[in-house]
Amino acid sequence: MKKILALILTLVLTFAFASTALAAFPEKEVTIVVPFAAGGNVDLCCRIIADEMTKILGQQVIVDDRPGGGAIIGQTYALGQPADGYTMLALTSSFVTNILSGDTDFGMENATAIGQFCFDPEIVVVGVDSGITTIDEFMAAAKAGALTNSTPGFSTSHHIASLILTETFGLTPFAYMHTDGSAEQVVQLAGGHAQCGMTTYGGAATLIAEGKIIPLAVCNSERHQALPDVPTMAECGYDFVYGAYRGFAVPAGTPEDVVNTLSDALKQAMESEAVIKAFNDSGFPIMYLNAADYQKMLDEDYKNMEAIYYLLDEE
Amino acid sequence: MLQNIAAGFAALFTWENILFLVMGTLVGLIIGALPGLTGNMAIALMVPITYTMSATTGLVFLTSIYCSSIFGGSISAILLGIPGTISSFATTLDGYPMAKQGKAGMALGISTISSVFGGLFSAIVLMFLTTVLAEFALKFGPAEYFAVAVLGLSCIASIGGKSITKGLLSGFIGLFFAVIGQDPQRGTKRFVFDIHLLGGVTLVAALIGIFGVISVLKNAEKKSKETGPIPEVDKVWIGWKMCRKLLPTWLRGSIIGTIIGIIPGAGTNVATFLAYDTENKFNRSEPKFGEGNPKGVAAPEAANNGVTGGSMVPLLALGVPGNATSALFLGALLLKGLTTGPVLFTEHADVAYSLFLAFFFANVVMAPLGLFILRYMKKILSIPESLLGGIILAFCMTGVFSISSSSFDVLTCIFFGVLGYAFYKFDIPTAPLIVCLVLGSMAESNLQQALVANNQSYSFLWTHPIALVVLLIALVSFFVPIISKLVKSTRKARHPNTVTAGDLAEDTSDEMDDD
Repeated sequence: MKKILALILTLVLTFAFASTALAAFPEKEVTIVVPFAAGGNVDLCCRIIADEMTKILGQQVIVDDRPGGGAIIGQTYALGQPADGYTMLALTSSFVTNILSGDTDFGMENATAIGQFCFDPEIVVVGVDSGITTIDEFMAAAKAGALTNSTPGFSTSHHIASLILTETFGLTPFAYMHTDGSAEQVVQLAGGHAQCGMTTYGGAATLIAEGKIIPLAVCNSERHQALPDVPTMAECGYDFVYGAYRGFAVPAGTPEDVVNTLSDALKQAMESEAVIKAFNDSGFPIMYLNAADYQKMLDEDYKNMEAIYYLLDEE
Repeated sequence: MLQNIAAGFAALFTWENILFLVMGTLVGLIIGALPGLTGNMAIALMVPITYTMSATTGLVFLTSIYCSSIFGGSISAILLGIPGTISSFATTLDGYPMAKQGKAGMALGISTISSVFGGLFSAIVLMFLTTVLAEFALKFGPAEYFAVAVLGLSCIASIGGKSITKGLLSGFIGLFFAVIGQDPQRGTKRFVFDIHLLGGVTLVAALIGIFGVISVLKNAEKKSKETGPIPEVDKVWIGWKMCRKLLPTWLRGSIIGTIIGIIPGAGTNVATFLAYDTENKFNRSEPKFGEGNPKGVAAPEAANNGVTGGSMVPLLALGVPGNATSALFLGALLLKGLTTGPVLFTEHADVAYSLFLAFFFANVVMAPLGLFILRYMKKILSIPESLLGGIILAFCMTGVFSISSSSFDVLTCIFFGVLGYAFYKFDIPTAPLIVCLVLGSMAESNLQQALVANNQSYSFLWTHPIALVVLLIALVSFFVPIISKLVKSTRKARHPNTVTAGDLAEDTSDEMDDD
């Protein structure tokens, strides 16, 4: 009798669980973990998208900022959550560099990509006092001797972009001045305290418009829509694409249909009028990649970064 | 110009805007008053709410939160001796002693009027001098940043208490904690035994630990021995006579706050330290600074609200946010499709000028609201301290946890609480530790950058005029108090019987301290 009872109970439970698994995802609110401070660029992007995804998924999508430890704290937290799709991580370039730094408990295999929503290409810029006006002059000067290069901090994507640029074109290593954030970085360039730097459009927009910072070339396959007169690196004969990418990922092991639901919702959100307008106004270039393409991009980035990581360790 | 101001007025004065101005001021006051919760946090949370508002309404709302949260920080600093943010740290030094002497109402009143004065001053500067002053911000390279940081650090000589050795000891311990984290230039990890320390010690957690935990421990210790009378609280309104007396202090504080606020990144912290220290050096009135002098409250409060307007100068003129809060304003502006820089003044003059006016009126609204609320808030002091302690601790820990939902920050807070208690037992001042912890990494990072820019030569110390002048002032500011202390103590040693009236108070406490 007991055995039969146990069997029935097991069956009932199995069906109960099966039915919850079959129930449409999501059944409760979805959290986006942002491993950076509230009000930053990544946080801002995520809040815009979260509003739209809430409408699409029919469940609240919440942004949870967990800054600190060079984004490692938030990344570790998000990837440590159950692999059920209810916790997404805002995954940026720092994910790859953090893994290479050896400070993380997680690896590339612990995250499954949902999709990319933004690619912000690096722009090679100089201060107006540097006397440099074209990318060719810049390359010649950077080969001849060390230029001072202002960054928003050690191992930030702008710093890494400069390191890769140096490596790719055999430039003299820059004399780096690592400031505390992009506000200080652009002031150093505009004030003539440093000669050159790499930056994304948003942080330097006003100083570029005022002619205090000169954009030389965009590190992307196409021109920047806000800077139609600035050539791409490739147009000038330097094949070089690099930028800050932003997307979402979930802990590895999340069911495939859940990944697809989230990925589709992200796609729909990025095609919505509200998101397109908010992104354009804020100067975040939209570039959607689906789960498979984003995963491929991440794996490639890991390989590229692995090859140049010794440059960061050396300094 | 007048036409633009008129357009700004027209855009600002709608029922909706006035409602949000008052609401923002209330939100800011309460958030600012809770230890650990900062105006920055409040604004970050409110930015998404402004998506649906018009540009002007959104900016009015954020501005009023910004201004009043900076002022709100002084409430807990004065009543409980716990600075909720680093910008109200200097206020604690004299505000809390005043409250202990039964002058809590007066201290709160001074803080209100000083904040309003500083805020109005910076709003006017913002309105008329933005474009001129923005050029000034660009003059600041690493050499100048380094000099400003050193000037801030030089304060420790005068706020370090009576013993030079103990003051310096506290400062060096602070510098040690400032070293923890990633080397800003080389990326080397220093004392990072936990990943949470990669970005350095969380300043607010350390600050609340040292002031919050320690004030509870002190009370607990005292209560087990005796129960003192509950301190009297007097009127909040301080009277015109006091206003006249504090006017020069307000002016100096506001000027320091506004100017330092303009330099991107240097911001609020340095400004309050400098304003407090300057007044301390100019002060000839009794009681001494650190023992409840009204000017010790007025100076930093005028300065930190002076920073609010100052920090918007580089943002509006150059598109470069002066501090974390104005970075949030940048986000809010961009989301409305508004660009910063001179374009804002020509193409969207109504928005720009209503922002200036919002800064002005946020401060105007703050005075009556502040004075009204404080009449009730000061009643906190009538709660017996033994009961208050637990509540304070709970608030402190919740506030610290909310910084980044990290239990490590809570541990940091407890660690610094215990450290602060040890300092208290050995009679070592805590103020130098805080100043060095806040400014240490700024000094270090900029010194290294300046060396890179100058091919590892120290010549920038005298070839950059601004840096040179600031460094010379720093030298004077550091050595004058030390020398005068030494002179006093040798004079005392020679003529042990002739004591001037001014020295009397110090002498008695000296004996207590040294023995």
